[in-house]
Amino acid sequence: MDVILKGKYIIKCKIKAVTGLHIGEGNNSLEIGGIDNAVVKDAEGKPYIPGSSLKGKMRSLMEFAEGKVRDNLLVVSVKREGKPEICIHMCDDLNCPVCGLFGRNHGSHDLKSGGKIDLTDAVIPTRLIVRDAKLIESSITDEMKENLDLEWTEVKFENNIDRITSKANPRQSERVPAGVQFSAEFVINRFEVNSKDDQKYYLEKFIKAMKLLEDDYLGGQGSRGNGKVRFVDIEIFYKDSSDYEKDSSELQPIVTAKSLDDLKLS
Amino acid sequence: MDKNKICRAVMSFKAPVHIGEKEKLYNITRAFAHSDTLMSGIINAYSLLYGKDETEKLISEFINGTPPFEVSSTMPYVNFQYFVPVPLGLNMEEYKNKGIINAEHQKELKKIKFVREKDLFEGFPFKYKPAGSFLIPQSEFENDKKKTFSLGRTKERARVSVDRQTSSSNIYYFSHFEFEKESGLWFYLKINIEKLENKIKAAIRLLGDEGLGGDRTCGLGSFDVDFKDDVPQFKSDKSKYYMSLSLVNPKDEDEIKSVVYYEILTRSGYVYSKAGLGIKRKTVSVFGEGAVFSSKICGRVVDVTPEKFLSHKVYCFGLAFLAPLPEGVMLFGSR
Ligand SMILES: [Zn+2]
Repeated sequence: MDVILKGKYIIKCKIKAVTGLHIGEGNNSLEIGGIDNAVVKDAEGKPYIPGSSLKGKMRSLMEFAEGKVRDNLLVVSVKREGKPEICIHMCDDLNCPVCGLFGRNHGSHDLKSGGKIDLTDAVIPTRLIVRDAKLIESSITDEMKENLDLEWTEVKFENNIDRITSKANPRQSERVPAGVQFSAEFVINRFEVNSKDDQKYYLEKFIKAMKLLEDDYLGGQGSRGNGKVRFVDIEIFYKDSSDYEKDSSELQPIVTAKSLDDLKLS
Repeated sequence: MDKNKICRAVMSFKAPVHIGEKEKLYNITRAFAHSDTLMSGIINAYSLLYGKDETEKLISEFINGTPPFEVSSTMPYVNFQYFVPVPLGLNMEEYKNKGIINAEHQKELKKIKFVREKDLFEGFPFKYKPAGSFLIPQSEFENDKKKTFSLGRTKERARVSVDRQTSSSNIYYFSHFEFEKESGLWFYLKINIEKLENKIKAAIRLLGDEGLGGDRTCGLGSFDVDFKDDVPQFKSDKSKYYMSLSLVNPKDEDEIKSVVYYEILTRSGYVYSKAGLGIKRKTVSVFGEGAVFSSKICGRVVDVTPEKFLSHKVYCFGLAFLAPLPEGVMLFGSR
């Protein structure tokens, strides 16, 4: 198989937290007296949205939207005591928008429905790169700051009731407040695979994934209204593979839009 | 760029880097890429830009012993000061006795893994003090700007996978390295075929967008690259000693005999291509960075194609990137 890079679509935009946003650290850094449900922060202590969180959520939403969540289309990614514990979609269809964008893992996999699938002939470099979305400090106004418990975040008490013992388990939970914005960047490689050009196929599919995320939620406690996000101030650039031979190329956006609803690809 | 001119490729990272467990170079972090890994990354990017056929032509030049370009391993820079590995066999004790290095304890000397490029190639003209793995001029400590001297730090990242139907989740952790603002990695790039200059630089720029190391699709390891001409002119063509800034696999007996100080590393791993998934490539032994030679050696590209594997050739780049050591450098037993 011959894969050539034709160019890259680069989507730059802001992610706006419409409601409070909680993307947890996984409680690996439990400190005594600290918050037991902290949000992920960068080296400077500022909250950010990890590229992996965005990517994982969008993949999952795309799998449902494209009708790929069926036992014969799911592969076992984690086993526990020999039984499938975590299953996700992966297939050998070269035109699959999910696998084409988000990638396939090498090798042979167990199917949830039984049997195996070998993805060797379908593995091509992953088209999508999702970068960490960094906090836009100026999006936190002075007025918002007055209501914050920590420098960039608010802390809420929440009461989890254990479903079996009915025992209350009050704990603190840190959130990025509503209104905060992050700067995001997504890159979609446009390939020519065995002389077939992707054109805008994967770009269009990715925009669909962005819309799906707006209708869902990001991070934890989504069922309690957290994690609603919107993509705003969208700019799409195209970097041709020949641009790499230039020292620096100032790209001009090919499309701009205030929101996804206004976005029209030509 | 003139023919055979060397430049400095300075990588400023836009995100943390995740480099696998096996990359324990220098034992301080896992944030470095050896010359063979860097080379494979550049060749892969070249192939994405220019296709299979043109890439095969390029590789054949390397195998024929006429490398179109050469790279060193990646090396650290801190506060935009460029470091190189300490040459193996450098007699630190002697530098301490002569008052050039000011260290209170013996073990401080042992920890030094990197020295500034200009200090090494100019024969240590100042007075120095160890700062962890780095040897830096004493004056840096007296500098009242009090800039911290750190390459960066290792952090843990959590990753969650969620089952599509039951929503049960699995959390796992892996470590990554986060560079300080004015710190990062750099390497020497020498282009031998002038008309390829733009294409090679293009491949390195693309590698920067794609990222170095693991978890690239989440943006890790991505960097901007700046090609700078501010490198020392390695003009002494008849040096007594040469130090390698790359991994080296010697091409013949003579090259093996010319090694004075060395450390042997083993390079292994899996074939990384769609045809060779899960197949172990042949293992190669190489001299690590900092090895000292008594003559100019070349090294070679080693065919590590597994037996009975017919789809394509697999190579390990063991070409030497040498720098002449200045006269008067104090190595053990070199007086
Ligand atoms: Zn698929």
